[in-house]
Amino acid sequence: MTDFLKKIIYFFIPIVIATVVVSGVYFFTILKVGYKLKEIAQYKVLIMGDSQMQRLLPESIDEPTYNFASSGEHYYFTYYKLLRICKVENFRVKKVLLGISAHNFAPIYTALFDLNTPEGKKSLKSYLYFIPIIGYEFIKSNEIFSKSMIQSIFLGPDWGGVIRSKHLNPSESLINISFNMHYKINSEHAESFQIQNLYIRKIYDLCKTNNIQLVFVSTPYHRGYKMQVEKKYFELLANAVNQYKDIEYLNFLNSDIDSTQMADGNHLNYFGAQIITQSINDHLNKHLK
Amino acid sequence: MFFNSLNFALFLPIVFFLYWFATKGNFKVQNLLLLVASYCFYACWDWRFLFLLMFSTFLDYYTGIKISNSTTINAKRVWLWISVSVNLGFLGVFKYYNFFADSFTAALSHVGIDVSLGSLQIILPVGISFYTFHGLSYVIDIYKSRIKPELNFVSYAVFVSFFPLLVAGPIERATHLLPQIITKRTFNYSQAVDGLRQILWGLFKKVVIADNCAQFANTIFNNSDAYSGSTLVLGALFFTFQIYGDFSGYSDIALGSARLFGIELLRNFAFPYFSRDIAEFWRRWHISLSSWFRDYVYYPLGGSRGSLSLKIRNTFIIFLLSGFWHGANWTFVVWGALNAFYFLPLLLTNNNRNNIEIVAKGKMFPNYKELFQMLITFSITVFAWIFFRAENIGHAFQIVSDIFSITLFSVPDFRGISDSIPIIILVVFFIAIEWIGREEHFAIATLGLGWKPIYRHSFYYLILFLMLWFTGKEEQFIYFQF
Repeated sequence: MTDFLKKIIYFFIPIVIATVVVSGVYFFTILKVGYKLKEIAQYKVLIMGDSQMQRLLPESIDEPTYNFASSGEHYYFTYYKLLRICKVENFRVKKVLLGISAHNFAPIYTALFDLNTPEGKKSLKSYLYFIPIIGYEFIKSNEIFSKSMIQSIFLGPDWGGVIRSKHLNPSESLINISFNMHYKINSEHAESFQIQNLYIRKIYDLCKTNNIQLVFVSTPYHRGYKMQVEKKYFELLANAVNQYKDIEYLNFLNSDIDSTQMADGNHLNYFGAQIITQSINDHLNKHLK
Repeated sequence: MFFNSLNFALFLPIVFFLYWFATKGNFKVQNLLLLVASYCFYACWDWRFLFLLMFSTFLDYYTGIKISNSTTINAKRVWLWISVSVNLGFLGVFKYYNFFADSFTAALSHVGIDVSLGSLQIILPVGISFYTFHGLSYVIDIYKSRIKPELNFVSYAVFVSFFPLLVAGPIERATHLLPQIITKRTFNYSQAVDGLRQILWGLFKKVVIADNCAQFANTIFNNSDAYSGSTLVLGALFFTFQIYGDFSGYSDIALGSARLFGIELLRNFAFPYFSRDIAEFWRRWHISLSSWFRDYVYYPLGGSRGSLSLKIRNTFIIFLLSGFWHGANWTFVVWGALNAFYFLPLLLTNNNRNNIEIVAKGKMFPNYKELFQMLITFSITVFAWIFFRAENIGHAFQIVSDIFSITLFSVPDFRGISDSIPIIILVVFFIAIEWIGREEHFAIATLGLGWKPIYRHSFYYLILFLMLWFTGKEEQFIYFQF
């Protein structure tokens, strides 16, 4: 028995060393993430959500604003990012502009929340440092030892932030690419609006508990994109928003944005972003002071 | 709790240490520990069905004693039938009721009679087909006076519920396992190290081969109408390696885990895809089930003795039962029938025992004849797996008709085909290792034992690394549903 145990211990020494190194990187990065979150928590306004919200320009808002949105961000991750901010001592955040739109209920968001898909693995790489590592909906215990996990640990978090694109007049094929990516990724991924709704509710509760004013924002779609979106997704959006009568909803889906102000099917370019952000700022100043 | 979960990775060492260090070598205490651990293991899946397992265990324990104590053959028979009926009754209700009710309703509706027998909203208790067969073999063996009943309930309960074999076999025999349970076990270094190697190889089969092949097999089978014949063949090949990696991987982990406790379980797989004919395949695939049906159904029916019609009848009974054992779906029945058709010519021409030894024993490569025989056997096995995997009979026939079309000669293409290339390379690596180790009880049993430790350990680390790097989407063990 002694020989057996010795052999087991010797065999596992390199594995333990490797685990210690990887854990070390993880915990060191966690510390760095903590410092960065402290900085972000000093802003008055946070722009949160997915890549649509990344187009909004923080400098166009009068109050100190940080664009904390990130590409393909499921509300689960938004919730945990905001939770981390709220846990910072003396955080100063007073308003959260949360992106919400029809595509947030599209099949892509199921895939983004499923670690068994390439999209889910991308989510892990972006958000590992913001979320609970096990025991929750996203990461199952057996996924702790996986290639994606190790890659995510070494890659560090995706801080997202503002994207300024000067591309305009998107072609039909570019619009179709955006549409297909959202709605036609895989027939196996049915829409899972329940999870999205659950985490919108959690974000709402979190904001309430921490005296943060939550504002829903729907940025515009390109006409060519909007025409293709099935009605049911707009209904899902309306149902989600209507649950929160006390929340201000800035809906720009029907605004007069034209093709010269769009970068692709669902993203504003810099010129469109200037107009929309300015409009948001005016609204904040007028109604939400 | 799955064998490829972190929970099991913690559970196994804890039970191992308690077993060898906290029991002071007292095998009765060890048995009690194994029983508690096994019940915890089972309860992790669904504690409510633990009562069914306990009831089934107690029933067979009690009827076993009653059969042994009965002085008349009629009394023995009554107790035997009580056990058989209740056990098969549970199996019938939980596994087959909905199937029979639906089939009966459909058959009546064909002749214009509309009835509804309703369906039961129940979950199939995991492992029920396995532990029911454990219990049945035990009472039948007592009835046939092959063994004496086990009077110690804990020992008997460990025989039924020993956690490595509880949910997906191998289907043990009292004659093989009980003597090991009721005697003192001592720690055997070689056995334990061998067990760890077998667990490692089993995990590789499951995590790397089966789970990755499953992704592609599912993509192709779930959208079969969109794919060409050549892609469907590729899908069938992925499933062929998925099911082998999955079930033989499970069996390897089960056997390896049992070895850590000084217990040898029945071998369940012996490199079936290297078989030269279908009879050999069935001696090498799910051995514990095949031999169970052989001993408790085929031989009592007369086996291969008797008239031609009897031989044909018995062959069909055993293969159809085997198919039906896998699940309540006509696809399994057709799969069984197909194998019976494959097997019959060999039986009727007395060629069913031509290939007893492993192919090319003592040689590196097979000769051309053996290679040809292996390819033929493998091909017809792959064909049969289409029926096993398909959603229903219509789906299976649709796939078969799409395969045998002009698109069979097109280049395979499906969503994610580029991702499948590393997995195909891994499958080739896997086949090579299995070929090298085919004369052993599992592929890496002796591989590298003559190497310097650094090389041998590097090989094991390579397997671990591949498991980490190529972890597929976690799929439940296929045989858990049976």
